[in-house]
Amino acid sequence: MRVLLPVLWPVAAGVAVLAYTGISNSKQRTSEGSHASGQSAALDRIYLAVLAIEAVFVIAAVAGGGSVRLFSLTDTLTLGLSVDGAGSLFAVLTALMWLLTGIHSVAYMKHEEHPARFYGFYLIVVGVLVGLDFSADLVTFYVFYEMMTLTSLPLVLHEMTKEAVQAGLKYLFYSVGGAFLALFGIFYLASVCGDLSFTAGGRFTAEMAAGAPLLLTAVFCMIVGFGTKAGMFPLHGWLPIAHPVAPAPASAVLSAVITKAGVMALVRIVYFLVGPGVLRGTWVQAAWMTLTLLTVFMGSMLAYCEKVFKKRLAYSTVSQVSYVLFGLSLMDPVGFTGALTHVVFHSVIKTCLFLFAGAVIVGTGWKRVDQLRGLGRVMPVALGCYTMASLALIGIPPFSGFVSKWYLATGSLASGTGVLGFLGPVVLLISALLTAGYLLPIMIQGYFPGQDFDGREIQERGLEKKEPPLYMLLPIVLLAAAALLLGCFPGPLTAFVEKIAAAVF
Amino acid sequence: MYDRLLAVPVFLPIAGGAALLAMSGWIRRDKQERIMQWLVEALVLVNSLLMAWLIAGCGGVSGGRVLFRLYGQLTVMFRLDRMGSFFAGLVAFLWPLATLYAFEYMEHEERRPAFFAFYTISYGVTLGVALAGNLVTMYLFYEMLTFATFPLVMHPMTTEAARATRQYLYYSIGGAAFAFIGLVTVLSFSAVGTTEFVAGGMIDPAAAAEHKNLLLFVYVLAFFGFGVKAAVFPLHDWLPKAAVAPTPVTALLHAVAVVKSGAFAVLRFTYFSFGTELLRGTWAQWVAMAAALVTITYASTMAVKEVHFKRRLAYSTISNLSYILFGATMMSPLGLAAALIHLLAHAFMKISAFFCAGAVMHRTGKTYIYELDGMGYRMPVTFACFTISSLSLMGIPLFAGFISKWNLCEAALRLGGEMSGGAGGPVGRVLPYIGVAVILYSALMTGIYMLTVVVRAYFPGIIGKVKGSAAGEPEEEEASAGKPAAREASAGKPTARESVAGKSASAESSVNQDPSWRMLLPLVIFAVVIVAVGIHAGPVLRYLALIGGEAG
Repeated sequence: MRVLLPVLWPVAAGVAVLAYTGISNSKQRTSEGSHASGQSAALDRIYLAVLAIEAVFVIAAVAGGGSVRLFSLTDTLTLGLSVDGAGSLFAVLTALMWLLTGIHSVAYMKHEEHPARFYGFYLIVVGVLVGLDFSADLVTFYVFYEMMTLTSLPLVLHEMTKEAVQAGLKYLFYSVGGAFLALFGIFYLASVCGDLSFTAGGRFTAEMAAGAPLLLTAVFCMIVGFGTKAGMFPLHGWLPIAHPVAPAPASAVLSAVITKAGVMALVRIVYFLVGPGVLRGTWVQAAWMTLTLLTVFMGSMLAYCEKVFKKRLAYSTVSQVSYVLFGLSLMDPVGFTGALTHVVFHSVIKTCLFLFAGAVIVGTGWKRVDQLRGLGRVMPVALGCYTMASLALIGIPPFSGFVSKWYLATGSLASGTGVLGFLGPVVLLISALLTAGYLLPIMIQGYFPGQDFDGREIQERGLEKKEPPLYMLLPIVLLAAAALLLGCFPGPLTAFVEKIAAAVF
Repeated sequence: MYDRLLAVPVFLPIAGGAALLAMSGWIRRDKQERIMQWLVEALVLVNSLLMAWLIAGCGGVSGGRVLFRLYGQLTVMFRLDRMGSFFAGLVAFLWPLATLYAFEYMEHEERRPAFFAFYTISYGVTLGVALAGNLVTMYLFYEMLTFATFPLVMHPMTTEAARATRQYLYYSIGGAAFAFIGLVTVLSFSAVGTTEFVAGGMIDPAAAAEHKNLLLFVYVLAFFGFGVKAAVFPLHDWLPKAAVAPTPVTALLHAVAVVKSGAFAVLRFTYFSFGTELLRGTWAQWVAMAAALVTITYASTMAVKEVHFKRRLAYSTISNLSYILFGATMMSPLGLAAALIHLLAHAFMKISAFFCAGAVMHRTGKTYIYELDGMGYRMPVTFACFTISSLSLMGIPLFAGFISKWNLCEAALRLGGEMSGGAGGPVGRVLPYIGVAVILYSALMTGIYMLTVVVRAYFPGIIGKVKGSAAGEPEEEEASAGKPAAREASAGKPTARESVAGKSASAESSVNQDPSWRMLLPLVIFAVVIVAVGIHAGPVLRYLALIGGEAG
């Protein structure tokens, strides 16, 4: 029950919110106006309370541990949840990011239509994601994975513009296509292995692998298929289209947390089902490393060239999530540690950056990077937080990104993967340079707009020193502080991740 | 005693339909018509209950009973076995609900008595196919099905309908001719001298060894012959054309009864006449399987291209029927069980999808996909059911489609493992794996052609189209399908009252246009079944594994 609660609670709450607004809307249609303000304030409070309670539930489930068998689809397919180290890490991260972004969204959604619909689906998705993290076997995982795609779709579609609908469909078709590609692998593993429950270190022995001629192909299908969600080349095309059209809080969680579901899938398959021993040194590893390095470079390069702020951040996500995948593809304990710590750091940083972008859009309406000149006069504190997050993403010590990149680079060199292992750190360095190139100019232009800067627009619109409202600023400040503190004191986190690594290797 | 009664559920609807046809001239006034409707519904319901009682009474397996003898060994004979009970039970479950739906749908149409007469006759004939105890009887009812249903395609009496009917007749009769060759061959090579169905086949092994290639050639002919009704490529073209028929016909006959009779006939012919022993690993198996795979690929791609709502669903039917045929051509116990579970799942998914399309046509007259913008808010229950059926067709877990897809792919991979030793030649070594890939490709295409409709209905893509109509669409994650329907129905009622009052333009766009309970009840029941099978398919699969075990 303790394991099931953090899954059921937000889903039930989300469905209740959707149901309630559905009923009250049709009642209100007789009277003018859509939402009474008192009612919407109450809704906001309930919404935040649900998210806070969800965080408590997740932490309780992680602390208590345990497993639960849900029900059986057929005699051979049984759904079950179980708490383990990797699942706990992802679930706690998810719940905390969801809470912080939720606080931000309360302020953000005042400027959007249909806030209740957004809240409803937002709550449902967190339950589905926690279920995904706690899944005890691949079939349960797949169930939650598909549910996640479908329930997060309304977040992308939220603004209901033609552009949003097209982006939403693209998101849907890429995700579903990727999931079906992965499903081939699942079918194959099921036919070879029978039992698909996750075991640290994998279930395949060398003999089993030798008796399954298509095993490597199946794993590769799953890497590319689940890699879709993580924005890995060649199926990354949806990400820079879909993330920016969503409302900023949705972009934040899509980029920072939902992409990690793809990462989680690959962690589970490679390290908990097939086993790194079976895959090390095969063509699958080489191909996977090549794809991730390509994605890292390409994502950074496209981000550098992109002029729309949120799109730039989305390309940055493409690149950064592939850092994580690169770490996983090394099949090396140090690289694995780097990958999972980078999951945490990237989530924190990218959430912060997207929430900042949302605050800028709400506060000033500026969406393009060249409009952000002189932003330091408008929101100096928020821009300061942006600067901290940027430095962390680039990987400058003592900020957090440095720690994970250090692990990734040393893991790459130690992994014994030859040329690709040496190429890895080089690509990471180039990408870090590009990251600096696409993030820092915004800060520099913001604080130091230069002599020729025409500040009339800021004055005329009365934007001078107009920080975002508290609900928006607070999560941004907290996340920026986390980006710094996690870099200064990475000990507990790396120790936790190393414990997971020790179990799977 | 049960075997004695088997002919009743077959001939009762036929007699009832014929009587109605004879009296149709007298039914003119509304009151008479209402009486006629309740009589028809009562007849169909009683027949279904009788069928259910027969199946339950003898546990799904009864002795055979010869009704009459045509000539020599050509006997008309009924017998219940597990597979027949399964199909008969499915048909008996769907028919009363579809008839109920048809009453409301046909309100706008002409010549209702004749329509219901043929609709009821088709029920009996379909049960005849299900209960047939030998190939001759099945062939007989298979032919009769063509003649009982062509007036239904013809019903709109337009030039288009006439053309579609003509094509339907030519295709079906032509196919039956090929099937006839199969019938004669089976009779002359039968080990027992009759065509009575025997699990595992009844071809004389000695004769089979001697004339193997001839038999295989005949099998391929008969596969395509019976496959006409199952719309196998290249003999599929009649099905999308026949979408001109009224929706109850397209939904029940062209998504379940007629086309599944085709698939059922292929299963009978493969597993109960020829026997898998003879066919497994031969070129005939690969030809049939390749035809099914080509059909899946072709039809699911065509469905994406098609913008007419019902024709898109018809292409989807073609593709899904070949899922069944793909399972059938695996010639293994798992393949047979997978084919049957898809037969069940697809019946519910597709009849539900067609009923939604019909409800939209009936209430608003919209027939093209691009006209459906925002319809999800105007017909909440209908589109909730449509969403469930779409997700199920795609094969999303927790819906019935996932179960059947999983079983099909499991069976295909098992076959691939068995054939990897080279038993099936170079083609057999790769074809099962290609089959899995094709099914996944088709699932993606299904996602594209079904979900574009769902997204269009809920997210029309215009800013501020219906302000304040954020009535949620949470059916995707609802565990129970009945709940949202009930809730949305209660949410919808105040809106309907407003529409009577005719408030404002903005209220106009959110008028509740859901049809009445006669259309909604079948839809909700189907949605519940889809979710129930998707969540707990164990009992059904165990029953099907028995069929697979005896016949595979």
